[in-house]
Amino acid sequence: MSGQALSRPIATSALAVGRGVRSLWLLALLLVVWEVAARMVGSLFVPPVSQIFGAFVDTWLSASPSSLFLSSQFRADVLPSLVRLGLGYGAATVLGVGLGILIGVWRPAGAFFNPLIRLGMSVPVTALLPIAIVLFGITSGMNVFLIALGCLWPILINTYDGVRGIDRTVVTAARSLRLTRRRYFLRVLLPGASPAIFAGMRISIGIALVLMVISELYAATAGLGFYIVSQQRLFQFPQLWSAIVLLALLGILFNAIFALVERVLLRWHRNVRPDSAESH
Amino acid sequence: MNPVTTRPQQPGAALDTAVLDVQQLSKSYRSRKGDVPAVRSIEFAVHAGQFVSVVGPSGCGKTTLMMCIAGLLPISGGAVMFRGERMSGPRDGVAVVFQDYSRSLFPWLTVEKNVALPLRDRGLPRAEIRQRVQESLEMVGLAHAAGLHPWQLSGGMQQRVAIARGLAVRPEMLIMDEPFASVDAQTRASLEDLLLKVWAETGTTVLFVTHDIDEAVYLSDRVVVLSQGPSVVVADLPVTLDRPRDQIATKQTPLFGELREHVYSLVMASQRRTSLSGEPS
Amino acid sequence: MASDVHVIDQVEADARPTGGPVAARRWGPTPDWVLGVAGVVTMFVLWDLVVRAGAVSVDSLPYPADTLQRAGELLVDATFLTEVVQTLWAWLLAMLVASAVGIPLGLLLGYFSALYRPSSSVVHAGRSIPSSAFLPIAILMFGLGTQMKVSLAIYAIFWPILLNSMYGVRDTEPLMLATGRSMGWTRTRLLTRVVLPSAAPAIATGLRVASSTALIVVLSAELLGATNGVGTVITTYQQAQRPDFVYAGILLVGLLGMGLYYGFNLVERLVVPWGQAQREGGR
Repeated sequence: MSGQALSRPIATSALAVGRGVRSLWLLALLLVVWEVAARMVGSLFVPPVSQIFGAFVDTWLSASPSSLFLSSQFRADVLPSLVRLGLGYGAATVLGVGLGILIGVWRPAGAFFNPLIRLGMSVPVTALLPIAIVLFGITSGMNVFLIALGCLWPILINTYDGVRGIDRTVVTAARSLRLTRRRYFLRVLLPGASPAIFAGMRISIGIALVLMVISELYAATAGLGFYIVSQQRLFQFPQLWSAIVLLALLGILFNAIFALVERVLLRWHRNVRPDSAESH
Repeated sequence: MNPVTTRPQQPGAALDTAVLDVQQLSKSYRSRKGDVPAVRSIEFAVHAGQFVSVVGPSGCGKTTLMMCIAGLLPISGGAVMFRGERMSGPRDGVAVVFQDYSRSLFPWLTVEKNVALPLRDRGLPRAEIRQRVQESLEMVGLAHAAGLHPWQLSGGMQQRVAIARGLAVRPEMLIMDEPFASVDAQTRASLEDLLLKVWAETGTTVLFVTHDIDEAVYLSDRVVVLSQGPSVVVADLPVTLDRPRDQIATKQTPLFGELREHVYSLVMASQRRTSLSGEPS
Repeated sequence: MASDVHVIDQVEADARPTGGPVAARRWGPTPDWVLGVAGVVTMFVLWDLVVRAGAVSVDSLPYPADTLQRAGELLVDATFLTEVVQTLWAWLLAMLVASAVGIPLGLLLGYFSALYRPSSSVVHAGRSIPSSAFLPIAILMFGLGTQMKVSLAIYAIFWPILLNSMYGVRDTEPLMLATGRSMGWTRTRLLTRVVLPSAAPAIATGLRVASSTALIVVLSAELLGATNGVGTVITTYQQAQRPDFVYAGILLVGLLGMGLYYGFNLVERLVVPWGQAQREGGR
């Protein structure tokens, strides 16, 4: 039993390659279909994959190792986007987890904030764009504000659910051990709620990317969204698509980071309960 | 019809030497339709070093009673006295082992950290904590599993970890709520013997709640029989079987059979009487 | 011996002790809804005080009373309501198309295990692209009308619907399948009696997520260029420097989102009542 659990991470690379082929052939096939179809139709808006990848290499990569093989365009547009994303997402996490625990632990606070939270999470964040612009002007602060606000709700709600959902037996057992408040918080409450907290953070990272792009499409002077609009105006569609590909890669990268962190931190959770569908 | 009631009076034992004295304990749950009594006027005492089992038909409020005695549920009436002091919540000197080991052990902590958890914030030096953890894990034969997580262990082993966690605080009384109800029969027998061994070694008082009559008779010095809920004490029987006990030899003795049958008939009788029974005299 | 009856402070069903290792606390008789109303009132009072104190200029944050009054005016304004209908129409179209394609496809991909892995990597690649990134290109391809909003929304919600359908089928309890087989059910019967009902809660979850996402995407498209829908009303008022109407519009949009959310929950509870138990059991 324990032996099986210990040997699981050790997978031979041959096996991994086989698994890669088995799970990626459909994606590859679809890309080929895209390439052929795009060449046959000759659409201006949807260029063939090969052109997109060509534009991707030209636009975002460079040959110099000193810049980590990234182009100056990358530094000009991707870095500001990532900084906004990080700040907004970070703020949402701190606020969401903190407030979520508060309303989860302290019932009156939950009742007090409940209608406000329901309303807040129902307002489509993009509807706040006009307000954000009035409040912050066309600054990075506006982008950060929107990202933070959009990411806040899933993290907040999931943290709350996680705290409320901690098993009754777990709470009773903890009480019988007479832990101090601090230790109860750090050793029981936080770990017990962490699967739900991570689920919320995972949902939010997707929202963060969407809002980053939207807010930059709407008003910005640099960033990936800004780049996409400018390429649209120049009718440079391979370049535009290369930015979309870059966004997809960022999304995949963030997801991979999450999967890794969860595998390390939430190993117990996967082993206690089988993985359920990505609900919430 | 009056149920048989026996006031728990150990011959020669004065009441003030009791470690645990449950006095007229009653507990009701509040529901929309009014108060629903779960247990009422429970009285019994447990003396230092004794092994006392509480049995009763399923749904008779055994778990409620256990939670009240452990200070994990507020009581509605009466009192629970521990060493002469009224219990008002979980307290030092009392450790609890729950039935559901998969949830009472924290899956995110290793075995060692689970056992060490109740020892933290008690002002104990690190070395002392480490030594006590080691000691209690050895007592249940799991010293080798210290670095593993609970979910890497079998059910029986997990319950042994829970017992070790209870022992680590060196409790005067160990309260166990159907601790072996979720494991298979063989594991159960070996856990029973392990418990008897640990009990003999530590001299801890044990209050053992179970629905299994054989188990209660086999383990205990005394068996307290509860009626169907709202439960009252129907009988309090001394078990005079010789110690050390043996799964086969003890259970073959005529006395074991008699006791077993006696308890069984009491439980069945109280079950049949449920809806008719009034206030116990 | 003390036999005085204490107050029973254990409320049976809804008392879930999550407060910590400390003894159960007694919060007196204040019911939740009173606290909720207090929360809303507090927000409005704070809002009012902030504006009154001049911390934020009235040009960017109107008085709450004004906002509520404008919201009332908008509610009876025929033009505004027409735009709301436009928004809902785009939302509905996107939901219908995405589920008509996503659910059957998801069931199919989840059912045949040879397809599950390869298709899930396609899904993960596809849903990694933020739908908003397609907005500029969608405007060029589909113009500024309903078609553009709907196609963007479809892209955004297709993935969660597909993925949840796949997961739903995939997570069918093997024991239930075995039970069905032991009764000699055919493949079709297994599908309709076991696989579909047990996938239904997951599908419902997917649709619920999709429902709010679709509204967000449709509104974003309206704010960023579309020519009809409630979002365009908000931008128009913003350009006309009427923050009171802007806030009123946002408030109403929030209530619309809330309505959709609760409507969906209600339908979900009626259609897949067993989903609730599954969700809670899955904790």
